[in-house]
Amino acid sequence: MLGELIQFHSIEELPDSPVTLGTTLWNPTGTWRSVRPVHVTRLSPCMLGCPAGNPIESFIRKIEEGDVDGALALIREENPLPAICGRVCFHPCEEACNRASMDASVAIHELERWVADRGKWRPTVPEKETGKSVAVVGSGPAGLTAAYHLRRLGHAVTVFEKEKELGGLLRYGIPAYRLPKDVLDREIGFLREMEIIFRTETTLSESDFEKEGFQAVLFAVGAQRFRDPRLVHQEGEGAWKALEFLKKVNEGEIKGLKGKVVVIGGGNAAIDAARCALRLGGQVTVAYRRMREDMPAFDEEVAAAEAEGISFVFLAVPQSVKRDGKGEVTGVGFARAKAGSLDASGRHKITVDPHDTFSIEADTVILATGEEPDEIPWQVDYKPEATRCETDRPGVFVAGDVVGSQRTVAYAIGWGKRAAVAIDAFLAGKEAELEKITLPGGEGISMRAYRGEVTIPEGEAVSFEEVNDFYFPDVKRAAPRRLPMAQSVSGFKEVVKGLSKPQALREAGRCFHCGDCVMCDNCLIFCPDIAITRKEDASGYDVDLDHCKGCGICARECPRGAIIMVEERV
Amino acid sequence: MKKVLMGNFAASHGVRLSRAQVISAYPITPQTHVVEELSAMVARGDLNAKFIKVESEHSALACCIAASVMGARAFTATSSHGLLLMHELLHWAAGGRLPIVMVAVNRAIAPGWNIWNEQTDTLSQRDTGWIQLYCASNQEILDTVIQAFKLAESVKIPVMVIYDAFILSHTYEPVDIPDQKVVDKFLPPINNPEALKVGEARAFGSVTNPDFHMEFRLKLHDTYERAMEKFSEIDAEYAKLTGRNYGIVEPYQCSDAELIMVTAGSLAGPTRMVVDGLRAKGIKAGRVKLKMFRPFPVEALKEALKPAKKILVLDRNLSPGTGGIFAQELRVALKEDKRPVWGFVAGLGGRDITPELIESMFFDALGAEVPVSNTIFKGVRL
Amino acid sequence: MIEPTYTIEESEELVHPGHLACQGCGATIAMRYVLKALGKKTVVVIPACCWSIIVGLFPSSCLDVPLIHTAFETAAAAATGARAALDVQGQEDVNVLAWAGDGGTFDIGFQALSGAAERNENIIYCCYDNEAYMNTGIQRSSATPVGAWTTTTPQGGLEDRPKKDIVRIMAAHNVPYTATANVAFPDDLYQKIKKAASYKGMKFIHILSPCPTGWRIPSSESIEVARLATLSNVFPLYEVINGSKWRVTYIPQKKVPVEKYLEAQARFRLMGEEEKKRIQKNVDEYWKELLKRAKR
Ligand SMILES: Cc1ncc(C[n+]2csc(CCOP(=O)(O)OP(=O)(O)O)c2C)c(N)n1
Ligand SMILES: [Mg+2]
Repeated sequence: MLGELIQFHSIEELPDSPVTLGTTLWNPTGTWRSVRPVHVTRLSPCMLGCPAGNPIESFIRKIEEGDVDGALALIREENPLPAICGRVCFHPCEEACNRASMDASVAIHELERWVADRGKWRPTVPEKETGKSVAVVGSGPAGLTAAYHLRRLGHAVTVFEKEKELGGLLRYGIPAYRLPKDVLDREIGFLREMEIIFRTETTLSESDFEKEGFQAVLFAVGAQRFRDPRLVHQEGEGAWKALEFLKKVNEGEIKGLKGKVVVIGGGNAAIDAARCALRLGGQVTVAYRRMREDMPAFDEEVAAAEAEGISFVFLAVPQSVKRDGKGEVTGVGFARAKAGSLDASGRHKITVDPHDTFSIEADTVILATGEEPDEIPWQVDYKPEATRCETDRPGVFVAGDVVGSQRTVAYAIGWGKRAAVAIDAFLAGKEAELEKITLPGGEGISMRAYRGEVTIPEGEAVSFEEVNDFYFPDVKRAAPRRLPMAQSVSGFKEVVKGLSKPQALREAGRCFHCGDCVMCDNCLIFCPDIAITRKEDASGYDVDLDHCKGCGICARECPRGAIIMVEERV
Repeated sequence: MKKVLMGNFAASHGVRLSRAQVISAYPITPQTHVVEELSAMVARGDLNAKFIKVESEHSALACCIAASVMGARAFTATSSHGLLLMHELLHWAAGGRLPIVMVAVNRAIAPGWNIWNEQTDTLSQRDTGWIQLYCASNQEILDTVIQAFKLAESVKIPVMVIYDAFILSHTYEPVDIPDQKVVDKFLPPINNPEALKVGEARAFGSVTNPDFHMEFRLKLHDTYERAMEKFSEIDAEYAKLTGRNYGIVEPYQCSDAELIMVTAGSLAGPTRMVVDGLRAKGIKAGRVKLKMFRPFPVEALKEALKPAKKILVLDRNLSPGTGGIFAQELRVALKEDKRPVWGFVAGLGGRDITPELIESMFFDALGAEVPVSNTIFKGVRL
Repeated sequence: MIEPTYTIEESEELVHPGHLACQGCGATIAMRYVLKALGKKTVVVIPACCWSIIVGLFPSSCLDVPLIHTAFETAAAAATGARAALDVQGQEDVNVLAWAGDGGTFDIGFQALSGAAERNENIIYCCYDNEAYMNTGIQRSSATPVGAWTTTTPQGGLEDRPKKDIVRIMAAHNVPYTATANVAFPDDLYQKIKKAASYKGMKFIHILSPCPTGWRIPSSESIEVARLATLSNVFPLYEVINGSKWRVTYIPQKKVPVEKYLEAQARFRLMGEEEKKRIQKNVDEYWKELLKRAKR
């Protein structure tokens, strides 16, 4: 605010010597400015990295503020499965995390898990029912997520699951040492409390759909169809398809394995199968056609497998399952491959020499050569990666692995959210405006934005260059507690035991809070023009544009890129 | 109380009686006794002041300036090179309208080093804005110091009390030291309403742009003119309390004088003797002692010089190429006047000015219609 | 809880906006925190320097405390006088702050400063060091580092003389408190001023204050560059109690090469690789010696 300049009308009014009589507040030094600082909320890159659209930066801030329940409530606004995500998600958010460029990314997934395990949260039934009814086919992460959000939007939801138990891949694919079943049950339990109806060992026919009065159906049936490598002698005892093997293990039907096990493949299913086989007593080798760095499996998983004593053979292209006279598996025959240049996906191209062969002894072979999307039992057609989840039939939607190529839990949750929005819009007879609620530059969507509770910040996410790393002292990334190795490999107890409270608090403190003003006062502290003040309600800062000269120190010293300099119009 | 005092100690007593609060000074002959005695007075508790033994005259005056800005009664003393080192700050003090009092003991300026009497040091500071009062006796020194504080504080202009090296500074004379009570009545505690106060947000000496600078100087100039009147009032008031006063100018035997010599400082004594001698010889001589040099008392001088047909100026100072500074100033003051002015320069660097030499000046003027030149050096040896 | 980063107490701003500092002026930030630490019962003395302009033209002042402008070379002497006046007036509790540039401290005002220090005047003398005579247009002072371009060192690094070690010189006066500070570390600065104010006698604080105009850096990088000075050990933060007890108050977590500091500023653009190496060596040696003095 400008003050007034003292005026003198006669020499008598003047003091005897130049002794000042007022302040400089009258002086509009703001006119010197060519750029002005603006406090803004910007996206943090972690959130762009999260396909599930988790409100990462803000839930970490809640942890720092000591509000674990609040943190959990915030996550559950977007993601119904934090205890699961925190365990099995391979955290692309952490790759996007700006802190990775300084020392190591924030252990976001560990924090999510810690919040989900520690926080108290109770589900509620919607205040207002829409009277609309939706069927969800498949109870994997995509189906569960869609069901949860549709229910929150006031629709009646029935989930159909063909298996005996709920969870799809979460139950039958992921081994218990990664995701204990009680964790899964607890999350599903919350959904039950919301009065979502679950029907197991049931499929939904077109006629039932009509009969039961559903207005929409979502197929989230996953991708479990075996991709056949067509090896010689692969049919028969002693050779497993990976998902079948994992299902049996998860159901407790396989109690032990003897002798040597060869797992063929390099994806997550291969590693899961290998680590299960090891726990069942097998002596395990994983054979993969390309190199270590080309494996689609998550690096942490591969590393864990190695640490547990599983052997790896690379550039081994499987040719045949070797069996003896009695038909029992004795080994696997391979052709040796040579690694060439990188292909479009960044993996090595290989050339196979069919004459350069070798074999590995085996008593059991597990084929983990990949899966294809399942068939939808209805007459529908849809495009792969159909982001609006629509098919050629109105009211019929698809989500998850069946439509997307990125087959991870986080992606599945993202799909589930998009499907919920698409169906909700459909039921209201509206166009789903997904663009408006998608984080720009990312894949996740915001349900809170969909419900109009928040607006998604515009512009690019804060880059590491915009972070002032001086303000963040080196703090080592938290390493979660783990089960001792001997115990890990001898059973299916959860290996990773999560963070302790002090660990979690310290880890949360490592977050830069990119693009989100935490009122650290740096802008105010370093302003040479004393032009920045705290708002009275402590909701941010005011800039005194009458006096701000636009030096830009505030933007530069903002630790987290939450101030931008905007050019003044002339 | 009467005491036999050196001129320098007379000055110290004047400062003590004036209850100076901040004293800051640096040694230089022939002034040093003033501050030596003051530090002794402070040490003895005779004077409740801060005495700061700074590391230079420049700092001494800087220190007094700030003390004065903060409303304290400040005093310093110096001579010659010390005064010249203060030059920059003399302007600060006057431009800042600060009622500082300084004793300046006239001493010659090097090279070569010369500690003896000459008035060029103070006279060359004439444009700094300080009031200059020249003294002719130790009593006058003491009285003038007290008057100077009152004058400075009433017009907010710093005052220099000036007297000659050794002739006064180191010479003992009987001096009447007034009672503290009398002085307190005359000089109340300092009260400068424009002084800075803690808790107020005012800045002294701010950058002043062309919109204001000239007005401030005009104000200083106008007040400077009034300082003359003010001094007369103060002088009269002092006379009431002590029976002594000095006047801006002191004419002696001027009422019917045909030749009048103008001079300042301790030369007042010998010139008076010479006038008496000349009068005895029937020559109508007179003498004007100039007490106030800044502001220059044009009207008072004109009045005193009215009867004179010829005017003589005795300068113990030199503005090289121009001559004596008093003569120069007087010529300007009398610029409408047709009367001839003899400008004598004598006694530089402590050379004796004997009565005979002074007498010879009167005879020079008697024997000619106009001076042989603008500046006449007297007593040159070689 | 998100930890508060600063220990600077919330208090009234004693520097008003509308002042005349250039964009990004470090000396202005320095004044803010020094006055915040000292509070309203303070009298400031400023000799000729940028700050005599910054504070504003008659009839305005940006400071909310009394201020005495004084001649270039007289900061310490004038502060002495202000102190004396306050003392005789019974205002011993008022702080007197002398606030001078590097030219007014290292060079022309050094005599008065040394005098005041020797007398152990009860004042706080802050030298805001922008490493040249900035007010008169970027001329070299004895605080200008080797190799820096100024208008009187157009060739940059010709004068191979180390910067005058003013804090050591002041500490050698055995005054109660001397310290360095840097506007990029406002907390350290603030706490040092608080500490200084708790001592009776002469306190001397040497504050590195970036000058975007003279250092040839964008105004926005003012703090960044000042910070690099400390992170690279070019300008270590330390304090000396009674001229003998040395304490380093900030040890950089990650060592930054001097080069990074130099290269951030166009005033060092004329500097050669050899010179940079030599400076690195000098900096390393000085730092080692400092740690030794601080018995670390
Ligand atoms: C006696 C004197 N000499 C020269 C000047 C001109 N002058 C004014 S400010 C200044 C430079 C001050 O430099 P510094 O003390 O470093 O402060 P800065 O301007 O860099 O803030 C100079 C040379 C002056 N005012 N007085
Ligand atoms: Mg400077």
